[in-house]
Amino acid sequence: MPRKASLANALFRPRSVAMIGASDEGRRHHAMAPLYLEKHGYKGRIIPVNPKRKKVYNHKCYANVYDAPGPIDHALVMTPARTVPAVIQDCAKAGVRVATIFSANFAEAGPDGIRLQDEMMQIAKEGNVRIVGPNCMGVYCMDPPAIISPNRIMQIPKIEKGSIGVISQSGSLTGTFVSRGQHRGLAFSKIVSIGNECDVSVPEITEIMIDDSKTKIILMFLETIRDYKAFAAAAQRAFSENIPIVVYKIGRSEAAAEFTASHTGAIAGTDSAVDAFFKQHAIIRVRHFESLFEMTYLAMGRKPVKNKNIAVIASTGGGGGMVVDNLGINGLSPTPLPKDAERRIFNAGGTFSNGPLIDVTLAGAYPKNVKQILQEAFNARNNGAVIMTPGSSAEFNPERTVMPLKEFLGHDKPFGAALIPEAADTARLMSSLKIPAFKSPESCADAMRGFLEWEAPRALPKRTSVDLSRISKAIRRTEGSVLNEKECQSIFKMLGISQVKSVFVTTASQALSKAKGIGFPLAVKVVSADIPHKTEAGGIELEIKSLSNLEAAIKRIKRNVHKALPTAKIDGFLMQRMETGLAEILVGFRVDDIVGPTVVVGSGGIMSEIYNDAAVRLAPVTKKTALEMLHEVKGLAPVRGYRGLPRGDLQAVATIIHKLSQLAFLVDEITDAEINPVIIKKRGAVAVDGLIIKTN
Amino acid sequence: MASSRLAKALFEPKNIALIGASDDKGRNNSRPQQFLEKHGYRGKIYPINPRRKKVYGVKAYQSVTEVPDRIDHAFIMTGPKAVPAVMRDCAQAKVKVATIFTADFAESGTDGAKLQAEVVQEAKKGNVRVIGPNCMGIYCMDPPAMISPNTVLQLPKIFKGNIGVISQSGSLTGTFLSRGQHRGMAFSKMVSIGNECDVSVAEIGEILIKDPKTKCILLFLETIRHETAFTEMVRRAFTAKKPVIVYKLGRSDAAAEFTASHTGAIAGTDSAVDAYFKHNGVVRVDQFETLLEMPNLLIGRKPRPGKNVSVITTTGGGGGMAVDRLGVAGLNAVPLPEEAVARIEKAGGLISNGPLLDLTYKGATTENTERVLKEVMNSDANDAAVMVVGSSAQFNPEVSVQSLIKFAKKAKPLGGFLVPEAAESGRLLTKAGVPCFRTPESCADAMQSFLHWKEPIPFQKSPQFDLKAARKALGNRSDCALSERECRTVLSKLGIKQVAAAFAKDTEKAVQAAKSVGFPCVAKIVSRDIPHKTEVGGVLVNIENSKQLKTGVRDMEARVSRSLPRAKIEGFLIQSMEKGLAEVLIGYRVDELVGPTVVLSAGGVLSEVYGDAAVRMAPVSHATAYDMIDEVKGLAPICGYRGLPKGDLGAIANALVALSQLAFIKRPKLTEAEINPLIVREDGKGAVAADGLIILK
Repeated sequence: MPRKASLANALFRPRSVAMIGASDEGRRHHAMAPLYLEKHGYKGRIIPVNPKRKKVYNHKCYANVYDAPGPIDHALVMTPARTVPAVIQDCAKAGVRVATIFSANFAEAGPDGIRLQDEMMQIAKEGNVRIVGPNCMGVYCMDPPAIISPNRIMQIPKIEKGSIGVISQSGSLTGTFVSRGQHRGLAFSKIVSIGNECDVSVPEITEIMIDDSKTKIILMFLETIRDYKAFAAAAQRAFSENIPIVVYKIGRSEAAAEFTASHTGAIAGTDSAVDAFFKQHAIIRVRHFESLFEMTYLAMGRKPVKNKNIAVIASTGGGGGMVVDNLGINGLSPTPLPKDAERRIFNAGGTFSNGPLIDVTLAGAYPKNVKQILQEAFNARNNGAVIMTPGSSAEFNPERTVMPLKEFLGHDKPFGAALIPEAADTARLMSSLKIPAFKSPESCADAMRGFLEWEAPRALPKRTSVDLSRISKAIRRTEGSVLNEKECQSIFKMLGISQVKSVFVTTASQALSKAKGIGFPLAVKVVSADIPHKTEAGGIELEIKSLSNLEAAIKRIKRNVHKALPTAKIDGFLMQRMETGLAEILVGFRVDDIVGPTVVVGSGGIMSEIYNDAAVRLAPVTKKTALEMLHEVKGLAPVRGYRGLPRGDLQAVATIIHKLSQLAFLVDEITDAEINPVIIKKRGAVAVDGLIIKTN
Repeated sequence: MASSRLAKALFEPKNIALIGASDDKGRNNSRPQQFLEKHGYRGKIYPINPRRKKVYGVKAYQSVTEVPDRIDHAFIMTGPKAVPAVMRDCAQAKVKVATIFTADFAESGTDGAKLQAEVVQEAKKGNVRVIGPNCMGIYCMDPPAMISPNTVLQLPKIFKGNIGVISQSGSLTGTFLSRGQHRGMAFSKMVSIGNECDVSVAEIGEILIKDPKTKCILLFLETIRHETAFTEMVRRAFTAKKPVIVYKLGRSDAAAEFTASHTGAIAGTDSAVDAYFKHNGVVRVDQFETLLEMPNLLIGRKPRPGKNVSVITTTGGGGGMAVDRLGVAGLNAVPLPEEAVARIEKAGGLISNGPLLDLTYKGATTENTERVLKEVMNSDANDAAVMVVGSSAQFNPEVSVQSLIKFAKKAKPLGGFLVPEAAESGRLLTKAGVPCFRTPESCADAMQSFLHWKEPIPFQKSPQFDLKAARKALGNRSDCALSERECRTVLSKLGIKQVAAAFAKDTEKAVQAAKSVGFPCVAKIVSRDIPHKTEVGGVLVNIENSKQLKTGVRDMEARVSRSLPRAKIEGFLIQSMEKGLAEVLIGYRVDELVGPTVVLSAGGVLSEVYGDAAVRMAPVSHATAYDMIDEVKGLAPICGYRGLPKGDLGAIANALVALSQLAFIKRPKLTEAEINPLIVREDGKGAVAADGLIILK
């Protein structure tokens, strides 16, 4: 029995590849895959499997994969979906290590497809066959070559070998990576179309690529995240191994998928949770597709930088202007050269105009001057990166365009060139030198933003001072899926969140006797698990100033509630002191579908919803991160002292955010929690109203 | 000079003098002669250089005055200091037009500005029209006359086409050619306009409108000079069915001015520029590549405002990117109606219907693709369509683009977004008149720009306003702020309802005034010298009785005198304390670049924080005013959001329309006028201005 290959070897360096469903007739996928494999220099055995043929091209064809002599490391399955479970059964029998399933119409096509995929997976597990896909475009290894794919991009004469790894959830885009990449002079180490990810996952391929000495950076095209814990672990490891991960993920425009009982989801939107996830784990996310390519040599071999300013040097005023403008739109600061540098340049007889654009157009565009200005830009402490913007010369004189930048190869400071004309040759020359070439001012600015926002991963706190078992117990004692206000209050108390002074009463007379302990003015709210929206049901009375007012208010509440929800069971009433502060905010905890526990902070009221103004982080958060969030929410500018307005006690709010986020340790019990509002005062902050939804 | 004479001399000169020409290869002044010859210029070339006998074998002259011919077009490449004398010679020689390549004029400071003025003066003496200075030259493709040292002219061939270009950046003319030709675009004429010391963008625009070879005008702008002429030009271009497409720098600039009121701080100048382009039927794009992708979307089409786009794809991932980006741009990717899908299926076709019309599975045959495209183009469900083409675009250019080309001339645009690097397909599409997009981002930007395109809004006077009375109330002073009392008069002449108020000279009169407007009331200091009353403690609110009023007003006066000892206090304005559903800010502001604008935002500090304001050119119609109300997010609460009580939106619109009439008043010159706040009551109950500020230029 031959030695069984590791997954990495079977995937990328298979000793033999079975092509199940291959033929040599026509130009459809099953006829192209064997050709491509051979054409691009695969040295192992190619084993076509097709009961209807004796030979496919010049290879002996087998009726069944287990008829072929072993070992068979890798099988590409191209038969119709319904036949795939049986094919995998055969693969198991033949000892195939990994099967890449090109066939579609599985989980992506609805309930029948899901069933078929599950059935196939069951067989694969029992037979110890690892699965890539289904619904995928194959696996491309450039060195040694093993291009296992029917993708038509393989018609191109040569696939270059390089150091970029790609994982794509879209199959057809693997072709786009090769096509656009090679045109730019970028070359790849390995490309995997991961398909439905029914077994081998994005994180697992990531781990393999981290271990691959030929891969120096990983680019990803994602539509979703399927296993956030494994993804996070892989990303953290990638960072520590100096392999940057750059992601383009679709889903920016999706309206929040869920309509949750609380409003947290509506405000945060899922995409901002995804952003938070990437940021936390040092994954660079780009917004422009082209920036994905351009990020390669910006990030490869580099670490995050602290100084976020950029020196932009241009020999085309208009082109430089576009770069500067777009950097500004992305919140970055194009920065002039320092005064002393300016003086040195002029003293040496140099010519340029200093400003956000360091302009050497026409008169200053001679080599000695450009060289000195670049040298000063690289030496300057007031910037963290340098962009050169060459003009028309880039089109016809690639060598001359790139020459001044060559001097700085290996420099710590990240740098690149924004090419204003078409200049494909210059772009390729730059790629060969590992200098980033930006093809548009917009993608340039997006790449710089992505790179400069990149930070080392932050480990999520692993311990908590909260007594988790006590809270678990308390939650398990409650009935229904939504906790009532009294129950919420007790959970918040156990979390250590300061709350508005309040007391629970069951009758009107009890209310009257306890009102003094709270003090006027006060508010009364109905307590009932049957009433999720108290305001709408007329279950809240505010600004109660006296005992007689209180009595009347309780009567009104009873009447309103009875009218609005006749079957609702009233458990009692909550009396709260009326608190006034400088501002109200919303603090939410939510287990996001794809990235797990998150916390959300938004300015209070409907305005935060209207402006979609919220800060999101993965939970739990430290107090420091909570403070950072409070600085991110635009609508909180007033309590941060905007226009001389009185400042709120942000420390106290941060404490509340930090404490609520501890629910991340209780995801088995709680899926959503929200405090709305938290009142921010000059001194202190208090939670007023809350909502907790249990995990079902 | 009549524009046709200028056009001839500029683009079809019988002869060209190259002043400062040399044959020192590598130098800028050595190139134009070579480029002119290389690209087929048929007229006569006269190199002018006192230090040479010949340049590239052609006889050189000491000065333009010595040339035996009358010169149509002179191209000046000498050092800046020499230019006034050169221009004197041009004037003497009756040169028709001089294009100045030389830089270091107005763009480089005061000395340069002086030198430029000198040049203009010399030119005027001989009626020489001037392009530049600091420009990259003039390119006419047919008949060829490439008068420029731009190295882009090293390209083997410059194609002739129908797109005109005017660029305020010289080097970018090269980029237009380089990127454009790579995409299969071709140009009719291209002008690097430089500092616009004489011939302006507007004037060249007028020439291009009259040029039968030009079908569309692309502008790269850094600023707008000669706004009135520019406005007339772009409006005429619209009428002449020659779309104007602009990329303008300045989106990220922090508001340049620090105006006395806050209107500027909220609106920012770039939003005024946006409003200006929309108002005048100009399409502005956000991305540079979009500028090159727009012409085929617009040529031969009329505006068709909307937001629904059909996205047909042969690649799931590429289609997903397009749909996502369209969504980010505020557009909807829409499915086909059920009956259309039924028809496709009945004819044996197949499509996965949804926001993405996916042909990936089985459906990507030519026959099925065309069937689906036909349904898409016939459907009322969409306003435009994009086909996303995958790998086939790269290897089978004919196949993938053929279907698209069939729909190139339809009123509804159908573009192609090519996902792989597929230059050949791109060129085929472009040459056939199909809009071709290279990235999902520029695709969405182009679609959004197209679907927001509207015809220019007519500038009409509304007879209901007594502008004479308003003008009179403004007085005839300048460079000052009106007092609140004076403001109230102006606003009332415009028919804007205001909070009940009475003016009082002193404390005693204030009490009487309060009795007439009623308690609770507000007291404000009245002074022309104090535009911002709140900042100096010049406003008291919630005054409940005479006693509070008396002590309050006295303290206020003392407080204000302490902080602004020189301010002349005229008295106090006593207003009734008004409460409404919401407060809004309405501003009128004469933008430096584009002229009179109106601004609407929600009241309070948050709309400033969020930069949430709607800006339009003034005057506005009621319909436009309602558009503005829709646009301001912060007004959602009074527009019926979440069942909240609705405010009197009609009253807001009335106030906006009324304030915007200030645009008709030429004298005195206004800088800005602002109502902050306008208190908006419940629907049907009106809105009242509680505070106003008017600043005269």
